[in-house]
Amino acid sequence: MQALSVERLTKRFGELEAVRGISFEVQEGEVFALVGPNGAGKSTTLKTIATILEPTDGRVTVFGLDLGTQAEQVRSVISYLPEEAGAYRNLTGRDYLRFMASLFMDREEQLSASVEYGARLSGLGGRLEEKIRTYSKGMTRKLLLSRTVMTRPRLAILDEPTSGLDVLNAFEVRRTIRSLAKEGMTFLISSHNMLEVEFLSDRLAIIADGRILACDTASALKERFKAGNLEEVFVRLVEPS
Amino acid sequence: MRKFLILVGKEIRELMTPQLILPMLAVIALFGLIGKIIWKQAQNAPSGDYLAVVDQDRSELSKRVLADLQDKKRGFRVSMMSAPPEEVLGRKEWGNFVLLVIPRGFEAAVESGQKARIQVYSVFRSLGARSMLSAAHAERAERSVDESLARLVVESALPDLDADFVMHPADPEEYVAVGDAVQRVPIAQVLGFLQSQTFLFPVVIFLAIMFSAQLVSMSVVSEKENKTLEILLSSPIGRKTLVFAKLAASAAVAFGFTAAYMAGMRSFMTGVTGGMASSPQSESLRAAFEGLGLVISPWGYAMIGLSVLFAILCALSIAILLGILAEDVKTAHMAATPLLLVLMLSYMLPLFVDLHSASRGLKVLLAVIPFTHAFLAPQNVVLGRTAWVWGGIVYQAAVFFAFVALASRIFSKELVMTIRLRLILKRRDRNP
Repeated sequence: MQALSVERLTKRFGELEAVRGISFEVQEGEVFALVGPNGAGKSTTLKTIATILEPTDGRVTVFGLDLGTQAEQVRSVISYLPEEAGAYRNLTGRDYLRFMASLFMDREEQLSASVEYGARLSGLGGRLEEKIRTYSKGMTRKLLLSRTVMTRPRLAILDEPTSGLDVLNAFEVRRTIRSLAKEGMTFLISSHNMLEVEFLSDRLAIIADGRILACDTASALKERFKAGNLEEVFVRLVEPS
Repeated sequence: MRKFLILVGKEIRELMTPQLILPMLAVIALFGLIGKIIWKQAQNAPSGDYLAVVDQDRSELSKRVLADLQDKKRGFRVSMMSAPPEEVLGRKEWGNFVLLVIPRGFEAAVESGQKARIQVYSVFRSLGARSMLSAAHAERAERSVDESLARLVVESALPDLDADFVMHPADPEEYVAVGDAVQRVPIAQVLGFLQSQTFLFPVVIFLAIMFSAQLVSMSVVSEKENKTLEILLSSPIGRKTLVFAKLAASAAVAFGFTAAYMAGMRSFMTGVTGGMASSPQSESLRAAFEGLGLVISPWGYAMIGLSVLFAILCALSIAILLGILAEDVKTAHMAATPLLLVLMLSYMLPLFVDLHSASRGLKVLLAVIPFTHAFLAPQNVVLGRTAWVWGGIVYQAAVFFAFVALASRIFSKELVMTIRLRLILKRRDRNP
């Protein structure tokens, strides 16, 4: 089943055109990545799909729900993790998970199960009972990632999920995403780290200056451009000469 | 409703940080402590005003005048000095005091039917409010000497007449009329009570409005800065629920602190005014105040409370918009400056301007500011102008709902995230 369909999506802020008529599709259970340099339009695209920004033009559907007319319903099937986001510093990690879960579900047993799942995923153990202000950046990011997926959204949208993390924390985050994808969760992620994208994604779109330059699997792209890795593919796309 | 309450709970927990609570409690405790210290000082201080006297005339007349000054009714603590005035004035170990000098020739002047010269020095060693007040008693010392001298002159010139009758043939009865109510009560006592009330109420209202506005704008800005707002905006909760939860939580916290401030301020004012701020000091005075309608009824307090509540809500709804415009926590204070200026205007002007005689333009300006109605509510209740109070509340409610509608609209659109960027781009277009 098609999880996400983006057709000719355009996003303008006054004269500034951040996204210029991009189109792509994501299938259910797929990990799809938008990869490109800073300012390419990745975050704007993700924020639009997460219903935070409104499309200037084009059409977006999430599991058949139209973003323009059914934004409220879309919000109950997605979960979004912004780049370098923080959490409520005066809540404990567990209280934060409970607060967020309670926005998605009413029944106590469902809620408790989600919180327990999120707590397990975070790997924070006893630190979950401490205030978030005492957490390191890596701990906060792991908590936020657990928060994003604990309610088992049909589409998880992750903006630069490993940004600012050290090698070990980034590795753990990638492993979590991969294992959840195996369980059937659909992911839309953005990154400027080509190696990460190659490891994580089933398919990817290379985006620059608000346009999609190429969209396929990593191996197909490497083959098409006769490149050893995605970085080379990207360089050949943006500097064809 | 469930999600609203969950959000309010989260907001309150985020707002009630030790960094916020401890300084607030310290300020409140400090207010109370200062009030208690002032009260204790006033209780322990010897009664009467300190008056140093240098009698250079050393005549019978000067002695009689000074004896009269020491009469308990006059309320002076006279200290006779043998040193010359220059030396007395130079004494550094004393605080503020009044020096009365009776020069040579005092008695001779009176006997020859001429005006007798006296010198009164007000000596300042500190410029505190209480010291300034006690120094103002110099004028009273001057009047006392004058009256005492007049009495002696009358007694010697007209021995058959009652000197008190000659000097005060009229027996004035002081009445105060407030609205339609008239009571026989000295104006000085009414003024003292009213001044303490008009000082206490506006200060507390001012603090409550300012504090709640800062809370909500900081809450919005920190959510934007931490990107927790983006997470909330992409979650299945109504955007209006988000706005109302922020307003409700900030209002609840602000009310808690306002009540605590009120208690601290009351203790401070009791110390400063010697108890007049809390209640009139005698039963007869209380009865007179009640007769004048100066003792506010529970219904009156309810009206004032409602007006203050809507003033706070207006400030919250405006501050939430200012919070959206701010870039980060640092600039949030700057963004709240226009609100603070308007608040100052509505606080200061009614304190110093008689609104009855003010120009129409000034009246309209003050009426347009929703906070003015809360500042004026206590006096309007006391003066029986309930229609004005209700009119103000209706206007405040209209302003509040208009700003909340605007905030909800901004939150329900992407504007909450993009308004700043749009403004920056517009400015760049104008000045490329």
